[in-house]
Amino acid sequence: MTDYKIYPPIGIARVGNAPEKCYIGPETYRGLPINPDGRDFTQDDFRDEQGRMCRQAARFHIFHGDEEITLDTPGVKAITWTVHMANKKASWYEFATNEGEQGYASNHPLRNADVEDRHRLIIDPGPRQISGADAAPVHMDRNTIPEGYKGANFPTGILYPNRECIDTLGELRTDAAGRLLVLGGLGVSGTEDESAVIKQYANNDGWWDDTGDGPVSAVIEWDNGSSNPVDPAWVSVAPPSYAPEIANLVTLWDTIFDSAVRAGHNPQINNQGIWQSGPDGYKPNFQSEIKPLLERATTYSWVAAIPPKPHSFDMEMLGAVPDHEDHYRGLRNWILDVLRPPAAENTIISGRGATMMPYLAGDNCLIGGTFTSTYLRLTDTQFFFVQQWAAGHFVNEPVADSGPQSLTRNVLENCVGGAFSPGIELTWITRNRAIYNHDDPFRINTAPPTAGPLNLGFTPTAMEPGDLTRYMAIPWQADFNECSSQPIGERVLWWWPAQRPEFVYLEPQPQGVRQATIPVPDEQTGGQVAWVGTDFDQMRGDFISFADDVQMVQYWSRLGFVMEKEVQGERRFVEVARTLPRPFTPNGS
Amino acid sequence: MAPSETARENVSPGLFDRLISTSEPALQDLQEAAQLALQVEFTTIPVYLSALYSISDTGSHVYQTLRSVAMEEMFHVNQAANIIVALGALPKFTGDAVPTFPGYLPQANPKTTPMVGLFRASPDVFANVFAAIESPSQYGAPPQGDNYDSIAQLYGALVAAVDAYPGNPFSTTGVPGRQRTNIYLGKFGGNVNEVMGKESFHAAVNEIVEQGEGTVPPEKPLVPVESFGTYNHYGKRTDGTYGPILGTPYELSHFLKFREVSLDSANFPATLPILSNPDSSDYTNPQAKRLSDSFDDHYSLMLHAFEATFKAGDSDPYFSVVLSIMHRVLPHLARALMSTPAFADGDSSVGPNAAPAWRYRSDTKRTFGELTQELEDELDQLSTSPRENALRTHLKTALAGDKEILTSAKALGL
Repeated sequence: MTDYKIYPPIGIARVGNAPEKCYIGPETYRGLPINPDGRDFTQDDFRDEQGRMCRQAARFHIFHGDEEITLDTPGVKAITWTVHMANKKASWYEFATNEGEQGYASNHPLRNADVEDRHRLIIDPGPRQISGADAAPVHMDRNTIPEGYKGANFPTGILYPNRECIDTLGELRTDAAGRLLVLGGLGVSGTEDESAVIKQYANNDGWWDDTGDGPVSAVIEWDNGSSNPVDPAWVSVAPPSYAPEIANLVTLWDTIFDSAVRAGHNPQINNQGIWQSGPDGYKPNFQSEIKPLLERATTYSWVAAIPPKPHSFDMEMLGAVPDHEDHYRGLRNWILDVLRPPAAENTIISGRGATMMPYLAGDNCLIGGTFTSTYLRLTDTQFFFVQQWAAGHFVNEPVADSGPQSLTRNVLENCVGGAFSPGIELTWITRNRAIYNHDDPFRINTAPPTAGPLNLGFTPTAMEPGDLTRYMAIPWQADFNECSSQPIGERVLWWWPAQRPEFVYLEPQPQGVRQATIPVPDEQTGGQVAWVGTDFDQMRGDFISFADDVQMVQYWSRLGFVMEKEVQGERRFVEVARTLPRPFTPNGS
Repeated sequence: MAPSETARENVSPGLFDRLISTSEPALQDLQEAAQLALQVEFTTIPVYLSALYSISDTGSHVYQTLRSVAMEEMFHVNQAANIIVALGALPKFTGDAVPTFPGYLPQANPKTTPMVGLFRASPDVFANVFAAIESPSQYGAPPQGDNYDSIAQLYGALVAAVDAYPGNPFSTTGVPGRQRTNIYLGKFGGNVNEVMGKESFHAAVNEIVEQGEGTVPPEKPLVPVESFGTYNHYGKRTDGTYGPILGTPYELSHFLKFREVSLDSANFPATLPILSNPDSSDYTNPQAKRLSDSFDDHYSLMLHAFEATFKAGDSDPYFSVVLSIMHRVLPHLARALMSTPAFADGDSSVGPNAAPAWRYRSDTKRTFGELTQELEDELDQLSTSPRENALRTHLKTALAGDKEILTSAKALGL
């Protein structure tokens, strides 16, 4: 523990196939990415001049309390960053919904079980350092392995179907003030097997991808010759976020925050296991703890086929704090009553006959057995806030959005916090309190630097490079393609429409002006179309997805982004920057 | 009990004769005709809800189908009330405006329309009562206000009368009422619109008629695929699965929904053994009598408050009282009744059990506070027998709902 800390404690980079041009991940909630040169972000910035998808860099800052420390801070001579990323997916257990969350069973299969030298299954470029302002890129590739590092390993040979190689897990850059930018891989996924078959959404032996994760540390050198180490952070590389301005109902911040609350980090909310309910208990702030949940439901209607009317809300009524009279309790209860409560993970229709929300697949709707949780629900903490709000015990106050805690929250609120099957950025390992620092609930316990090779096991008190992303699907494109819609019983539910759109609006001929804070699709918006695949038959293999996961490996970088735009006088979220033809039929068939 | 004539007496004799015969209908006649339309829609709601609550499995297709129709009928009531407000009158939901059962739809032709009543759900009730209520009018059927054969004809007569009115009979300012566009919640079809003139009136009526009965002839899609840009329904898709549906296709008309259920009798879910067209004076189980009175009193207070929500002014009890009684009290009281034997020493799993009578009780002098206290006493008197578990759960939930709105109800003088 030092007085200087890196923020956000978990930063998310995203793959792209443009080698040079990149953008910085959004640092505001539901914000657009940030151009490194500070220009306003436009739809042209998702791709480079050759139409290749830009990588999203994770930017890291150093804070001392609420004060940011950069190369421009008086007294600072130098800041040296160290990053060590690895990809351990191929060496880890198979992903099977929530099996393993409480520890793996002895009969749980490993990926690539027939490979004896498990270290050969790790992609590990070793650590890299960078310092200075606007520093030249430092690559985490196979040609620049640090001298003396003993764990380096990359997949050999050409990978199919794209005939590419994985030569790098990304690179480090710095900005004008010496902040760190971490870029991930180029989105290369493949197998040495020329037939390049993907058999399953999460586990495919012989396959590789170039995501990864690992610790980020830094040392500040002062003009007086002294130096300070800085509390380390973690960087993780994820698939692209195709609708950056649309948030998930349960974000990664919500999930980690909930685990922290239940572990006692916020006794004003939950004290030694007792929820602080009632009029004298915790009063959630409508602005920051309730309204965002409702807005997330509203914005889903731009990326999923859901009716806009029941997802539009009158925030004035819902945010009215009751005084001596409570005019809107019935309306608040109406919302509470359709939200799936804790322990009802397998309930789609309530006792009253209402369809329970969210209408999203849960952690485990795939494997029958003891851990079934078919449908997603709010976290315990989110649900508690909604309960308190419905009962009238809440405040409605403006919230300051600055400082390192806000940065953490904003970055993680732009990520998926469920369902974890396995997920988009990270999975249920993020719910395991053992991997976090006791005193800093969002900061991962980091193992001391190593000369390699990396550990093959799991030590929650000393997390190593690759220990977060190894649970995710290999290659990521398989899960990303398949987790569009999920047939459950006679219904078809959605997965992560805010990260991986199901249906999108195009830019057609509109009219009229809307003043709503959050726009809602209407008669003028034109029809929704499938983001990928077809939409007229929910039983088809290519219903809002590619028929074959391998096609996602081939075409992911050409899919469109969803962006809020002024379209002929009306604010809408529409598809932009797509380089794949529409309609598109793979293989020309 | 003989079929009720109240609803008919409630409308001036010869209303539609006058409307049809004159080239300049009086505004008051238009108001009465619109109130009649409202009462027709209103009449269907207790009928559908009684059957709905008698279905045990709330997740069943039949329950979900009937629930969607009942909700959309509430939308029709709301839309009809807006028409009345725009015509310068206040919609009535109490007194003579409340339907009584069994009976015919107000002013309907008893020879061609079904006897409507409070029935335990069954395929035959869906076929002979529900589908019949929502039956499309025959091709070429004239607009008809008195003795109509289908609801569409009644609306046809209303539209004809409004069209004949010289100038714009609608007004959004200087009227005693308040149109409501924010109380129709949830995923169900249709959007409540403000009525401002003849054009928005036509749009409102079209939506009601198309959603309910479908149009003529039935082979021709009413609204084949409305050019509506969003998936605004979930239901049975043309690919045979359940999921999002673009626009408002013909298959979602109430008539066809009921027809589909009635034809699939093999899959009809289990129902509670309730009496049809219940009359609490027949009950010999005093608990059933008390619960029946409690239901009717809650219902009456709810209607009273609901009527007030359409009056212009600051006070709006909709979200504080009305919605809570609708969602958190009445459904549970209904199911409590349906789990209570109507006759002394009865077995609730065998029946016959009591059921809500949906009586408007203007004579009751009990306050909301007294109703709450009675429910509490009722709960205290329950035995601990596991046979009363369902009843206990429903009463507890209803009581919790009562307690939540006690302060607001008192403030309203209820």
